[in-house]
Amino acid sequence: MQPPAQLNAVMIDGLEKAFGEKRAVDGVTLRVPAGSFFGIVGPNGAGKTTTLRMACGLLRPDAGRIELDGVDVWSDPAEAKRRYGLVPDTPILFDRLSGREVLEFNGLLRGLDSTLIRERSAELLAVLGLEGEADRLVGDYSLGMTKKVALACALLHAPRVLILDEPFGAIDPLSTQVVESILRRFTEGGGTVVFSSHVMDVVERLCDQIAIIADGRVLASGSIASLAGGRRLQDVFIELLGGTDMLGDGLAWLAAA
Amino acid sequence: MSPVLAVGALKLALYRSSLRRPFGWVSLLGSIAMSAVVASRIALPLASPPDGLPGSGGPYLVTLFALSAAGWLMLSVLTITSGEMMPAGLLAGFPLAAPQRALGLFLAAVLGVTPIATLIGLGGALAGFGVTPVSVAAVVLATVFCVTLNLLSSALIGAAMRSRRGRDLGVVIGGLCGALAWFLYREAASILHGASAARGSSAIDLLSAIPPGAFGRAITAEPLAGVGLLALGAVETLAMLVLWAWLVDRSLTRDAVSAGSARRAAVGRLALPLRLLDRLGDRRAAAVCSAEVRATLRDPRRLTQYVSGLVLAGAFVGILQVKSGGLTPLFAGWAAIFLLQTTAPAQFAFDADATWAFVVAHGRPRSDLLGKNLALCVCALPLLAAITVGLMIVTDDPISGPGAFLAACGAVMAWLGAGSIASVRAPVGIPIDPTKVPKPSAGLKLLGLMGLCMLAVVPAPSLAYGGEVAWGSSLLGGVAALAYGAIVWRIGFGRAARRLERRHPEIAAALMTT
Repeated sequence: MQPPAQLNAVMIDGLEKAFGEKRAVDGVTLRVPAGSFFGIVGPNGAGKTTTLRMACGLLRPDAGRIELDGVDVWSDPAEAKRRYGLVPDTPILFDRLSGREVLEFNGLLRGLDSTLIRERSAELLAVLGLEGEADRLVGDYSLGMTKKVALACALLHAPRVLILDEPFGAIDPLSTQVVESILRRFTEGGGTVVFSSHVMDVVERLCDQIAIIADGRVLASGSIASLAGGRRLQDVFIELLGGTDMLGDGLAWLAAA
Repeated sequence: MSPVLAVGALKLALYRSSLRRPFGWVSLLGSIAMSAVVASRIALPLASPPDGLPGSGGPYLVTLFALSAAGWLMLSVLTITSGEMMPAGLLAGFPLAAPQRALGLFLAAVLGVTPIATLIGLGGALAGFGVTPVSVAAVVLATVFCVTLNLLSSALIGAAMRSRRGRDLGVVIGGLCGALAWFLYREAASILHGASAARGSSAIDLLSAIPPGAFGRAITAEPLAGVGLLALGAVETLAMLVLWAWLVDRSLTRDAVSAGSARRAAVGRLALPLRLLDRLGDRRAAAVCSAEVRATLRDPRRLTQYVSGLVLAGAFVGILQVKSGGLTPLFAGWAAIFLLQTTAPAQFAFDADATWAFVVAHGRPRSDLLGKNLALCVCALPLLAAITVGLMIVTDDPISGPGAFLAACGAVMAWLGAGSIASVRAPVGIPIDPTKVPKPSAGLKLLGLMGLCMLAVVPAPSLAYGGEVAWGSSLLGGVAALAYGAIVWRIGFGRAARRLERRHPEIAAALMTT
């Protein structure tokens, strides 16, 4: 039985999207409980990013319904966008502004008060280790630094739901620990984190619940304990995808090299 | 601050931040300079209209008001990197309703150098024809119309090419409007001097019926008719704004790329089978050439540069043909230069990821450069041939065709030689990281060299040009131009390749430490 609607931060029903002949998302239905740390995992091209883009109101689905914090994303996209913060796989930022300016304008575009923006920006930049780099142009940042600025932008307006697409790629281990701490604090305060990742260790460490997606469909979803049954999540993942011995006798020439 | 005003403020911040980059400075200064030129070319004649203008000056105002739209669109070519044209895609994730987003983007478009220049330019009409409610409204409405026209054109091009980079693709509009503005100015000059008012009357009739020409006509029309013209133009402008807002909204929530990418991939494969190039003997150069050609045909931005080069070349040859009454090798050579102007900057030296992959594979930089030179030939020569054949048919001048094509090939080779040198002498950094490959910065030097190159190419095809062009002299001129171009290319490429080879250890050392 599904939990009551008000306890779900994200509700996705029968989501579909095709690009030409390819069905990128094929009837995805998900429930993300409020206050949870929810991971979406799957191989490359499984449809994770497309699902998240549709969930955020950035890509119009062919069919299906999405509710984010009780707001229908496609009926009221502006209100839905107020409720979430997003860190895309490849953050698109104003790369000719400095990190501090990017945060300032993100806050202004979200209608925040200037003083509040300054206070929160300073705090976020300090916590993320970007204090010394805050006045450099974002275009000159490394990918990891860009992701950290994108995370700061996503958190600035204190959203109810945080949606992260591959958030830990290119971030160094120390920063990963800081980001994990920030995200834990966010969920402890009642916020919900939805993120996609290939890194099973991180998913296993952080998530309460996960959904495994392949070929645009949900293969399995639920708590990690119920899905893994005491095994490593990586093994469950590979077993579900049928990828125990994908190499076979191929690439024999590599051994001879 | 409301989110709508924040979008406007953001535009100004982006404007300011562009000054922190060298090319941003050049772009901004260029846009100011061009704005000043266009504004002065419109403002000064409007401020002091000659006596005895036909139709109380109506056709004169129509022409100059219409010219403002063409000039405004031309300016967008230079203002892409100055922050003048803010991309809508950056606002997709913010909680803005569609009308708020459109209003913010429109506000951002109005704040800047180009609209101010338009206001100043058209403001000359207030000095020349008097400050009345109708003339003030005409100037303001014409400026708003110009801004709207630019936004809508970019959005339409983006939608047609299934890309969100409509603002970048606006270079096509710039190219087309260059030719249009030239014709318009010719007409304006002829009316100004009373030489051939009748000749341009049909064009004037057309321009006076549509904005912004109609706004100019409103100033000298009867009061009631003037207000009617302004109201009609305002409705039209509003309709364009609504259409643009709808297109922007649509582009932000629909996948703009995937459906088109399969088609583009197929086009790239058809255009250049790699095995044909293998026979050139330098397999690495063939690989680079293949990658470059495919990148040109598959990347909307590059493809647009390419198409705009074609439009410019065709328009230039066409204009000169109208002036001279026949196709000549000289004109074909010049057209080739125009074609290359817009396609060349991306084709040389250390540009983007392809070079990184090439260097990692321990290819010789000389082969990289040769491959890029070949790619430009593969892209340019078929188009030049098509332009030549088309003009031979249109101008009924079959004898100049072969000579003209050879002269164009000579121009291409001379340009490649000059471009190769410019690209390796440009201060492009060594790639030290696959994620931080330096962007090409040779473009400015290439464009600077274009003027010199034009002078260098002119002598040979000029041999064939003597008013009446005969078959023999045309062909001789073409052959001479080709030989001349080949020599210039050989010298230019050789010098560039040697310089690149000297930098090779430096590149290898950088690789060893990453």
